[in-house]
Amino acid sequence: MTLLGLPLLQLLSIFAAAGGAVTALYLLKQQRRRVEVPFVQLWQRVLQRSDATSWWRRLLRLLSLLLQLVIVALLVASMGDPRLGRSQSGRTLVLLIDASASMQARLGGAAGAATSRLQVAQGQAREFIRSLGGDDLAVVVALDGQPAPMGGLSYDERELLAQVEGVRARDTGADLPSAIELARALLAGRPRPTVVLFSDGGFEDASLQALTTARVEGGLDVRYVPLPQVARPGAAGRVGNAAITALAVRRYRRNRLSYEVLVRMMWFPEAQPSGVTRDGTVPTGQAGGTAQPATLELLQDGEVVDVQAIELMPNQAVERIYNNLSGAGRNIEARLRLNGATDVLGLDDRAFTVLPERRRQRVLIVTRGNLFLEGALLATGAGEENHLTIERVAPAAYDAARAARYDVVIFDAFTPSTAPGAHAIYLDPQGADSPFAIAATAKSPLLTDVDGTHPVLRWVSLADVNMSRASVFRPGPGDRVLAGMFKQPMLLAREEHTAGGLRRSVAVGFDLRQSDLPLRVAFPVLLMNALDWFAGDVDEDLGSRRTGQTWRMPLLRGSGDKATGGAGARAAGRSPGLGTTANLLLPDGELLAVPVSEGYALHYGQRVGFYELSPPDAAPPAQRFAANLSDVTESAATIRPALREGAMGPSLRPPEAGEQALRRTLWPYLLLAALALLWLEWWTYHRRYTV
Amino acid sequence: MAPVDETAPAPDGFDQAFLKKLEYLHIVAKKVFAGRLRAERRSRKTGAGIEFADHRQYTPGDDLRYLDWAVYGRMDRLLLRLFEEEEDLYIYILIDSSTSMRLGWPGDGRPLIAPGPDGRMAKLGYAAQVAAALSYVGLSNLDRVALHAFSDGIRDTLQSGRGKGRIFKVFDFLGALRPDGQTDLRASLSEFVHKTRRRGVAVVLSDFYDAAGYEEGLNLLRYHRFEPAVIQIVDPRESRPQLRGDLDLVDMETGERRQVTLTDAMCEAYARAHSEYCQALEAFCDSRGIGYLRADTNVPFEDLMLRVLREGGFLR
Repeated sequence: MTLLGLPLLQLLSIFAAAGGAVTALYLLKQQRRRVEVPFVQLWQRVLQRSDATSWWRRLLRLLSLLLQLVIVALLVASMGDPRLGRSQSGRTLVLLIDASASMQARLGGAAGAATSRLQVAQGQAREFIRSLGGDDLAVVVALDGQPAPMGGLSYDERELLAQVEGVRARDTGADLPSAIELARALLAGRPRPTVVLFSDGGFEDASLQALTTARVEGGLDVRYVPLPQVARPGAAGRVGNAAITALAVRRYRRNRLSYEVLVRMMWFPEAQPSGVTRDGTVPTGQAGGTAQPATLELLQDGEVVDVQAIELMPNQAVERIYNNLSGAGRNIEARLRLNGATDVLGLDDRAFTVLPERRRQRVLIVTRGNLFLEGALLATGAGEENHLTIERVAPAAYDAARAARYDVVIFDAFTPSTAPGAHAIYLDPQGADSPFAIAATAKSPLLTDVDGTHPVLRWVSLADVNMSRASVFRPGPGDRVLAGMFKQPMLLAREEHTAGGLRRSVAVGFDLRQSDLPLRVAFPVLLMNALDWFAGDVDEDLGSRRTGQTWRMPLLRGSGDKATGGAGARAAGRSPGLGTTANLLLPDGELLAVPVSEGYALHYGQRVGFYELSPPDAAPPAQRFAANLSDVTESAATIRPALREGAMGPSLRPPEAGEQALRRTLWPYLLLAALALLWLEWWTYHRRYTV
Repeated sequence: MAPVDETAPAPDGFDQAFLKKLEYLHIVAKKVFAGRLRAERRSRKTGAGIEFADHRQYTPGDDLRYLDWAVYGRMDRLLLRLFEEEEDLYIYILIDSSTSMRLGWPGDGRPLIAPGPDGRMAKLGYAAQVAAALSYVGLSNLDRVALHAFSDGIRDTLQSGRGKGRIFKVFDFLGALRPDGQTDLRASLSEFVHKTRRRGVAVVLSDFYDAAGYEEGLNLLRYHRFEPAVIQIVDPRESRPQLRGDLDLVDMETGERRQVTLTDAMCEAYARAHSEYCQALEAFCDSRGIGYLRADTNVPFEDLMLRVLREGGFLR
């Protein structure tokens, strides 16, 4: 805690004002009490005697004034928060307090009554702060997925303790390298830079390399305060952590309206050796031990739909798959419960996902007849029971107004004069009306450059695709080259933000009939990918997300429009692209306004549970999705009594206490001195020494 | 003893209870000090008495009836026989009613002799009680008692009279007193001696706070053959003041102001100065054969009167 810490000039101004006021009050004529006496001459005799010492009395009065000015000076000086000169021996410390998910695990004591690891670590941090020397400058950094300082560098014990109190556990992993980088930035150029890590030590081995980097490159002195070993007197049986490390949902490729769900579980008994990797593999020789019985429950919208008894082997992943789940927007929850063992971390005993709504897509093909195209669409799921509804129209009968009622329009060797109000696939667009500008024509090209990372080209191989001719496009703003030959784009993807929402389109620079692409497996897959991309369904976005990451969520407008069928889907399900914020309802009920960029809402996920996302101007229901920890390193809930730099590096030492127990903050002493002088003034006045 | 009118009103606090106190004092005085006090006094005057006193030379015009013919026969000298003439003792009670005697009087219409909010009586009230007691004793002894109130001069006078029944006039006179004016002992006593033909005992009741001094006034009484006696009225509030802090002291009589910051040491110095002042007055009286008594208002006036009677000679 500090006082105002005012600059010198301001302090002088305050002193001048206050001192002037005191002096003025001192000079003011004192209002005396009137007392009648019968014979004032007797008093005069006494006063004449005391007049002999009047010079001393005047001096006493002057001393009294000086005393009051000194009191004012002390008070003003204390407002400046003066401190004793600091030596160069003081350290600059960054106190990293692990706030990752594993720090929510209970530590010691009977189940339910024990404190969390984070609380213990905070206690250790507080104890360490109290041992800091007067020259030690420190700041607290919360070490979670997004390490951030909890305040500014400070010498003040109370401020640092308040920073420690501000650390909250997150449902994310711990990004140790980022925290070390942050510490380097905070400590750059400061004397004796030191990092003190308060943690359970549950880090990936790879991230521990950052400690070596910190020491070698940053010159940081990294210290480690391990969690204490605490007995569990109330814990019966085995103790450890059972975790659902993955809960995934995916659509069947054939029928996009059905799903299957994967649940992956692991069991980490306590005294778990360090070094668990992200993918859940366990070092050789660590997989032994007896099986731990457990129960897995699957719930849909809160109703139990399946219960399974399973046996978990230590450090081995056990998977369960639920086939042919169907439904729209239904909430899936998996719960894992140990039988006859104590689970120290409840966070990962539950996992959540949402079966994403998949609307039917109405597709209009504008073609003179193309069996390759229609056959491929049939292969991707067209039909009454599936999600695609295909209609065909001849180019001559094409009507833009009619096209606006479809979700997707595929133009086969036909270029409309105006772009439709829907997603579109242009197969060999030609002429001046082509929405994709054509720069040139290439004969018998080969596709040498393929962007396999784009959702449209996932699982698609375009190697050795032959074509007799292809248009070379000139990419515009928002265009992404999917494939081409030596920097000549021949396959483009476009995203446009219009008033009607996000509109996507794909252009293929060659005629299918002049290529062997329709004969390949890649063609129906490409079509399926394109339709999924238009629908906003990317597999990685389905159902659930992982905490500790920045989520990029497409904003779908008016999901309630699905009742109108495919005709309204285009207008209904696209991002407005115009808003700057969206509403995100967190699992704990907090409503956040999250930023929107290019039709995607952005949010750094820190909590496990169900979320709801909606544009600010949209009516419910909102898009619903879930987030899970899905972090094996955190679920392992390891406690390392010692931490090494890398796998074979030296162990980190515990930190030393400060060199001086006495804080160098002076304002309490100044206030005490002012108080003592005030008391002295009061005492001397009432004893009539200074009057 | 003269009959006392039990139904008489109690003017300004001099009520029946007060009168009973005086009667009690008189009885005690008669029992304890019998013979030491006589109302009858022989004056040095010669006159129509029956007891021979002296001879003197005959001068033409003398009454021939008083010629001592026996002496003329033996010594052939005309001498006139002188007889001692018995006359009443005159007691003059001079009571200071200047403003300084107001100390302790709330001035809210209450009688002077009524105690104030702090339970103490005003100096003038105390002096009035003492004056009433002296008057009663004198009247009881068939002396003639006159009262004079003074400050910068004689402000009021109760002519001399005798007999107990006169005590109510004394009460009326004393009850009507109000403190006012500035003390001027010399002027007041000068006026008194020049207006009073009959000599007698002059008891001065005052605090003697006179900026011009009390010596000349008291000497005037002596020079004019009065037998002065002094009762100095002292209030503890002025002899040992409990004042502290920053004060504006105002003289009750002159209005003179003095700003002081009183400390314990200064109050102690003042108490010493006041004591010295009283001792100086006492020394002055002793050196000149003037009876002196210091009357502390803390002491009940009955106790003071017993002391007066015990010392007897105070009134000679």
